[in-house]
Amino acid sequence: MSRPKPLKILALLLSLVLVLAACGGDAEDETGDAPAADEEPTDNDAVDDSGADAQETEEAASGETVEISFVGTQPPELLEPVVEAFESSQDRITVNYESVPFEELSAVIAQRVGGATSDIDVYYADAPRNPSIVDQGYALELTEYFDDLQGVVPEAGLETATIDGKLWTVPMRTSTQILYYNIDLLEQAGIEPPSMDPEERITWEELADLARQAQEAGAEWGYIDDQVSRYYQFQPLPESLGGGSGLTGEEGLQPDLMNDGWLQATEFWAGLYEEGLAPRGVAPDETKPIFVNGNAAFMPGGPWWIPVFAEEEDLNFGVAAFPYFADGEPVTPTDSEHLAVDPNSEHIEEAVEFVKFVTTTKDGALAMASGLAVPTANLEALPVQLAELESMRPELEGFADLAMYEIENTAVPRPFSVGYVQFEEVMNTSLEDIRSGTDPQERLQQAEEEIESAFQRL
Amino acid sequence: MTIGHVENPLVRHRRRATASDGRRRTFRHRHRDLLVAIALLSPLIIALILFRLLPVAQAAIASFQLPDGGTGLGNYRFMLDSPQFRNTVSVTLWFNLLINPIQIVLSLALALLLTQRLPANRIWQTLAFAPTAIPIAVSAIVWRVAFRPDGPINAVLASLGLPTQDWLITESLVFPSLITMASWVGVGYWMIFLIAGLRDIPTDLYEAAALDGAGWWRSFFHITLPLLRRQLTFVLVADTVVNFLMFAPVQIMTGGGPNGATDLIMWETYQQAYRFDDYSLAAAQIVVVMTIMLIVVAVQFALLQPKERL
Repeated sequence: MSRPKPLKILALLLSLVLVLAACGGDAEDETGDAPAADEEPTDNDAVDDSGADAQETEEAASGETVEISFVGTQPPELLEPVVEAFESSQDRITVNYESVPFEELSAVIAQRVGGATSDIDVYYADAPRNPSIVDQGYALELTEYFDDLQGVVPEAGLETATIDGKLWTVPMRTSTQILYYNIDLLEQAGIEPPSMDPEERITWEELADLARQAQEAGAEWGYIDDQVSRYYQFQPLPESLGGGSGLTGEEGLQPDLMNDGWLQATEFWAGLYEEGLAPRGVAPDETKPIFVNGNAAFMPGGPWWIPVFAEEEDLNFGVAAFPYFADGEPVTPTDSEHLAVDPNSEHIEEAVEFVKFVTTTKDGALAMASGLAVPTANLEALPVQLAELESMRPELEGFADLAMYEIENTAVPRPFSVGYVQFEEVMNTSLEDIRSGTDPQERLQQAEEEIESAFQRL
Repeated sequence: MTIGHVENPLVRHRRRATASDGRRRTFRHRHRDLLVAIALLSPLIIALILFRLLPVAQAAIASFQLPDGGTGLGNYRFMLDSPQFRNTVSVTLWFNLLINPIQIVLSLALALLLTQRLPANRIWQTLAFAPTAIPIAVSAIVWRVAFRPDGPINAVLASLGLPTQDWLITESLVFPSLITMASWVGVGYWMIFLIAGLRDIPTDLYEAAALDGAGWWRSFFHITLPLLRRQLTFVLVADTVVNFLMFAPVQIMTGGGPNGATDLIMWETYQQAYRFDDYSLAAAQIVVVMTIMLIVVAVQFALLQPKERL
């Protein structure tokens, strides 16, 4: 008779526990993963979820606080003002903000909204990606929640928020670009600052000459791009020369990068880096410190940097109208983030209430704008915000008029296409390759082929 | 004297009975051992099936689902026709052909060095291992800064009067830069396994070899390497898997560029799955990468089998 060994009994018990634990965990995972693997979230899901939502709303009505989850691309401290303003405007909804890097936003939305995890209620939707977001079923249709946004947000923003006559997102911000310059570096080179008057804006060719002059006089860099190698920042160059957005066709699914406008603009831009007027190998998030530290004479960039730059006592800067090509038209990029609601949200009513606060009320829009100075899309709050930015430095007098002029007259939105995501990814990579020294014509040709290939999968 | 050869039948019977009992007991023992082994291994096997094999099967199934809703080999045809994907496979294979031998030779050299009687030996070992303790994303960010055109590496070169380099944006330099960063992290880690292996080799073998007049290289090739074969196999296989699946440094440092020079397969798959929302194509790519990896690992195992067994 052999006695049972304690070690074996222990091993058997441990095994049993682990097996049970493994099975239990898996069952949970399977439930969570099933919708991701088998089906895309549909309107029906939203209807089903609104049942749960009704229950939640009931709970909220009974005095219980509801927390909504809000995903965006800015650091949490910039969103604190709007979260606080919203929470103090009512007493039953709190907001938990989560920041993800801009480059990762699409992936996060695909994983979590696409995966029906229901842990996001409201999220940033980059306007040109709206067709893709809607096509994938990642946005709740908002038509019934927003009666009339005409006159509340810019017409251009409303157009990108509406697909097939239905409203899917709400414009939260718009955007424009201005030309920053370092007053000290320009003075050092004996350069007269370019004009803020849109009618007297300088050309890209003149800007290259001035950048060269500033560099010769001691500036480390004559020029630097804000969002370097990103399509948003680059689009106005080929557009100015009549090259178009890069996508044509009725549905915006035909790449068109080999026309004269695109080739000329790309070669000009590549030349700034080839010549050494602008730095290679610096990531988009590393360009602002270069300007702030007084190492670059000119920087085309967004007005949202004004508060950041104004806080730098040693930085003596001014702004001018965005350049255009001598043979072309003035063009500025526009549009920005909208807000979308996850169709799987368990708090749809509360999520919509938050979206309404941020986008349709002056107080909400200004609170959002106080954190990050990207121009608000709320037309009532926009002039107030621009005036506030203008007041930050005496040299900025006239900025508000300039920004309004650009938004109303020279703004060209990004292409509206279900393939925009693929287009933008290919363009960003191609522009970075060109900046690094690849032949522009060859790379644009390759980009066209890559985009065509990617569009075959749509 | 034949008496001794005549066996008592009773004794013979008893012996048979004893042998039979022994066999039965052995069988019972074996049976029980098997059950214990199954019980002990079952959590691992179940977890392996649920969390490894099942997702692989799901990916394999998804790889036949086409964007238009149909099924077929369309994803594989598209992938094999795509110059980008062919470039990705080529880049991944070249990367592994270069980085794995480099990392293993460096790990082995470090392990050999640090098992010698050096002053402050523990400190050197800790320093060599330290980069492993840093999250790879943090290491990649640090190296991205280091490799910047105006970064510290170029500052050192400039101070020595040498020409500065565009490390991460020149096609010929980006591979060595990525390998340097990955090896900085990896070498110390693999070194630990090899140090453990080296310490297991009995010192009297070296003493005997020395008495026979064998020099350091002869001892290294005839004692150290053969007795380190198990650890080396593990390190080679695990290192290959890690480098085949490299992702964070590519995402943070190069974005697959310049001109697709560092477009490693996991980066490409991530792009397809999460940037282009093309899960079925990403699944097809996963199937291809796993197939290539299994072949490479199988070849490595075969090559590192002890010769006696071949």
